[in-house]
Amino acid sequence: MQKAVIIDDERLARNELKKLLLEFPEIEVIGEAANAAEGLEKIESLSPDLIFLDIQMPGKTGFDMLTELDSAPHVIFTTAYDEYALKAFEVNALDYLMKPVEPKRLADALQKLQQAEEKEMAAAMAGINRGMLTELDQVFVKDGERCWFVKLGEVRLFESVGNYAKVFFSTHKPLILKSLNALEERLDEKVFFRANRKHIVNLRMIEKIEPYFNGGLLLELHGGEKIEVSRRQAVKFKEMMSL
Amino acid sequence: MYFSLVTFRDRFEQGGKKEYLVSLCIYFVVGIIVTHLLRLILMRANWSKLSFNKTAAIFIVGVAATGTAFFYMDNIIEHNSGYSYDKFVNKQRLAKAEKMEQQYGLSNSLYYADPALAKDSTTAKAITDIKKATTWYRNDKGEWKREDKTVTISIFYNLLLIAIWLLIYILYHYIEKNRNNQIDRLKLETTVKELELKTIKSHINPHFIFNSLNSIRALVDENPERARKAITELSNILRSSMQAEKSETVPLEKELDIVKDYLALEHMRFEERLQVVLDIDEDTLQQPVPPMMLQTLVENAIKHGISKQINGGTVRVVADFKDDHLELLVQNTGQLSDNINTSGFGIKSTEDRLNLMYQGKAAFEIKNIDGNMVQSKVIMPVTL
Repeated sequence: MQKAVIIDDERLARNELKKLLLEFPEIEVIGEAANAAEGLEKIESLSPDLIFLDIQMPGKTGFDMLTELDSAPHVIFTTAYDEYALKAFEVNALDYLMKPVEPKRLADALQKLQQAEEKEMAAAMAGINRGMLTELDQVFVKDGERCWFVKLGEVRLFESVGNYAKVFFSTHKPLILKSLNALEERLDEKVFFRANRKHIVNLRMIEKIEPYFNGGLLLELHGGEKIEVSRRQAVKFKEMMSL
Repeated sequence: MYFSLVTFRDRFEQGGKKEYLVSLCIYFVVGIIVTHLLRLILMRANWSKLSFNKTAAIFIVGVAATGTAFFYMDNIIEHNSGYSYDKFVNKQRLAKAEKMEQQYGLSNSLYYADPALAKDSTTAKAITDIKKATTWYRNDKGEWKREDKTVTISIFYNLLLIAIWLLIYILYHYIEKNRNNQIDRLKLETTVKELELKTIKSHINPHFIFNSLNSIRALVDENPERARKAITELSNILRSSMQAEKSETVPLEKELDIVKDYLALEHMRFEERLQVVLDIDEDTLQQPVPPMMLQTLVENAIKHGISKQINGGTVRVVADFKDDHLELLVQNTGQLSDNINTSGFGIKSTEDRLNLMYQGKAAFEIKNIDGNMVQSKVIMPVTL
């Protein structure tokens, strides 16, 4: 059973989707919201597995709402007709439905979701750390016109830029509105290591380790980034690695 | 350089090849310089934009001035160059004249000083023959003189040359201009067509159509009566958007029917978030208006105004006469954002349509008014 929240500014659109979802007993609609602010509230209080999200809404758009979440649940976008929004997606990164929704397309989207879920369940059985973000959690990142869902495991590095953090993954490095300290609290410390005041690195993405001045270390990541580990953190790093 | 052109046949019989070639070169160089000067002046004067009469006047003055300048410049340069073919030929002719004088047995006679002798028929004939053959004659003091008719002929030839050249130049540019005009007109026509098509297409926003259909599907169970009505409303809008390109204007009443259907559908989507106020002067109902124009404004009021407000707002449509004009107002809750100003397609296409149809007698403006409202206003002439 999956818990779902529908976020759409039109009551009739929400009703129509609920009606369609009656055909799928594995999905339970536990809440609805009429705009991004309500949506955020519902997601935080109900922590659904899945949200159906309209893109064009009064106040904030669906995209804007997602960027404010620490960790995005599974998202199926619903939109009537919005070429710009659809262009913004990194293709195949996520699923979207066109309103009026075709029941067959809905079934496909839900099935795809279930497959992804099963894979994650198997992987997540190993280490369960409630409240912490694991490598399997995804964040929604928007940089100008482009959007991505990024699995934390794919992130090599977080770099502090004022109140923002720059997220390094594949060839991209967009900004997210989160401080490095806030991120550090939520990230799994077994995977993500605070190398210095400005950087959090993914330990699985380290290519090379070299000694550095003052008893520090220099880490080279898969993407070629070179990150200095301060002396204090280097001690901690060696402790962790020696285990 | 008249001689170089009229004495082709016998040009080298008496030598002077070098003089001939140098003079010919000078002739062509001066010709090119002079005609280019004329061209420069013509281009400065922007002749292609002048009337036919003015062009004709410029043509005559230009030919006269350039032809004369051509002749004198050429002459001065040739004479100073030391290679004047004219001088060379004249010298030869003088020699010939002296020889002829001998042949006629006049060389020892002072015939030129004695009018009686000069009138003698054989002497007079000899003088005329010599003059004809060589252009040279003696004045009454015995000095050789030339009867130079060639100056006028020469100027005439130069004028003719320049005239032909200028005629070709003007004709060429005339044809070129005409062709360019045609191309420009074709381009303009395509742009207008494109614009028209875009306007028609933009009349009904696909986002609106699909959202409406989605709402209707939800209503089929919830409120079948309303769903049936909504289908009629949507059909009306689609039909009139397809017919919009067929007629220049429609009565305001017809346009308002579409606006009402449109607002009814949007009300179905937004429910209590959309309040509608219509404020229509009955007398304006028969006034002709461009089809789908008011509708576009109302659609923008919803798209940029109401749909962005979490708590929704009001759309107010006003039609009234004001100072001999028909005034249409669409007001909506919201604020104009700075970056969308005037560059938006809806605004631009409305302005373009009004300009095309009423040639500056109609006006459009959009601005913030009191109480968190945006107002778009169209003023157009009243038709009696």
